[in-house]
Amino acid sequence: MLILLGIIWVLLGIYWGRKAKSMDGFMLAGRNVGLAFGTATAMATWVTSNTTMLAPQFALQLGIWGMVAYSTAAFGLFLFAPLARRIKDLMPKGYTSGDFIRLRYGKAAWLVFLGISIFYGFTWLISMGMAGGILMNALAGIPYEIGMTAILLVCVLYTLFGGLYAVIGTDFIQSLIIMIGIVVVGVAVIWSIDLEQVYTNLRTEKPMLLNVLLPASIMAIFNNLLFGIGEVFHSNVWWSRAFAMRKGIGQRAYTLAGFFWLPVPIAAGFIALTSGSLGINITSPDMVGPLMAGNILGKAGAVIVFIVFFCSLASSIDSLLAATSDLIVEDILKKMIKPGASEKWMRRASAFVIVGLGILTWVVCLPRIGTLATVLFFAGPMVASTIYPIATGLFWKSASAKGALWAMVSGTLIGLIAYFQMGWYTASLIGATVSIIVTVTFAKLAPDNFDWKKMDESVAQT
Amino acid sequence: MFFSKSFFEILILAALALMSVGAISLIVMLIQDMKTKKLW
Repeated sequence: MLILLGIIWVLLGIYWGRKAKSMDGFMLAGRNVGLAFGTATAMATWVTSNTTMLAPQFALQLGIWGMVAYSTAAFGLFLFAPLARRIKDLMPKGYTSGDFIRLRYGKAAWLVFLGISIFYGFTWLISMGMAGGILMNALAGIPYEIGMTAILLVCVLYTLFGGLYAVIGTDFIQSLIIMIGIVVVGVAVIWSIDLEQVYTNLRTEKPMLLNVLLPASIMAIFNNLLFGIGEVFHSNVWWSRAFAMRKGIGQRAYTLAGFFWLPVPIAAGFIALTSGSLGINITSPDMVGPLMAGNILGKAGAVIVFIVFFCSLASSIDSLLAATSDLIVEDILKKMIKPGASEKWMRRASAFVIVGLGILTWVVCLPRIGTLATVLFFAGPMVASTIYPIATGLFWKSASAKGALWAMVSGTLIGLIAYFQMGWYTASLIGATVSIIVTVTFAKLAPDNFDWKKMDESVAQT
Repeated sequence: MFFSKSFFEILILAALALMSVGAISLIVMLIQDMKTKKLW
């Protein structure tokens, strides 16, 4: 199954990759993506291994609020919808989120932003490479190292051949498989056990999971909400899609994607909550999803879940490889090292960077470090500190370069202190709070008067 | 204070229903984009 899925995605990558004749084609799928592909790519990319593995973990540790907390990450997509429209209006020929920060706030903020963005992209990649290995092992008994290597190799190959065309095309198929697969498993669970029985069992065995006032869970809602918004607002994964979509599509596509994504963590979390009623012993919290489906549905369930998880991993790994390589090639290689680079040179550089990112991720993933949550949430305060510099930078003329710089630096530092001193579930919340205070204070006390025309480099150059 | 049983049931069923609507909507949008040649 793993080999078959791998071959299908690589062949599709080669097929769609034939459309990518220019850098605009390879990096941004020709900037003309329609509503169906636009919605599907935003939805599928946001369904990561973290959604299908961490949401059940959240449900088991934090109960109903945990599931709801994870689903609040959909607000990242909802709130990015108007930004996607604004981005396309302001920067019709832009390439990356780094382009925006450089043009809007200057070099210092740009460098800090690139550091945060590339670190986050790489962290996300690692968490998914690890998830790939864990899943292959849990579902099919494939050794961790081989499973992790296989999924990374497949994603590197089809992203390499097809660029964003391949990523978006495969995302459409993957989004359908993910939604249909989770609905099938969810319905099968309801079919095999009574919802009332699940509720009664939870109330008796683990009443805190049904507690409306569980403090850590309520904190997790706000933390996850802000982490989700930060992840989407700053990451080039989402900016590249905003640039890639046809004018007038971005806002609708991101809104619809948010609605389609919202129920995924709840459905995945619910499956985990039934473990007590079914008498299934959970040995490792991040393996609860695949373990449950295998137990409930037997071999057929294991195959469905294997395909769903493979798709959720591939749809995000490919996007991250493409978007992070765009950021490195466009912002670092072209803007800093070789300003006059030709399209041919950039295409070759993109290929090297995609392969290099794949190898680096593989090396870091080899020793299985920590749980998925600890790996991912470390980046939380960093991305949360970028929310307000980006949002205000897109809409307020008064948002200043100094304000953006200090918001990102102080939000990250104080958020990381909170991460270590108080807990992961406070870090994004505190990082974002510091960031908004600094951004707004600078905008009010030392306002900029930015000229929006500077955002369109194609006009500025002519 | 605990979440009620009916809230729990509605939450789960609504989530599964919304995902089904999502899958159908994507297929409808794909057909429309293909008809109008606005896929990409």
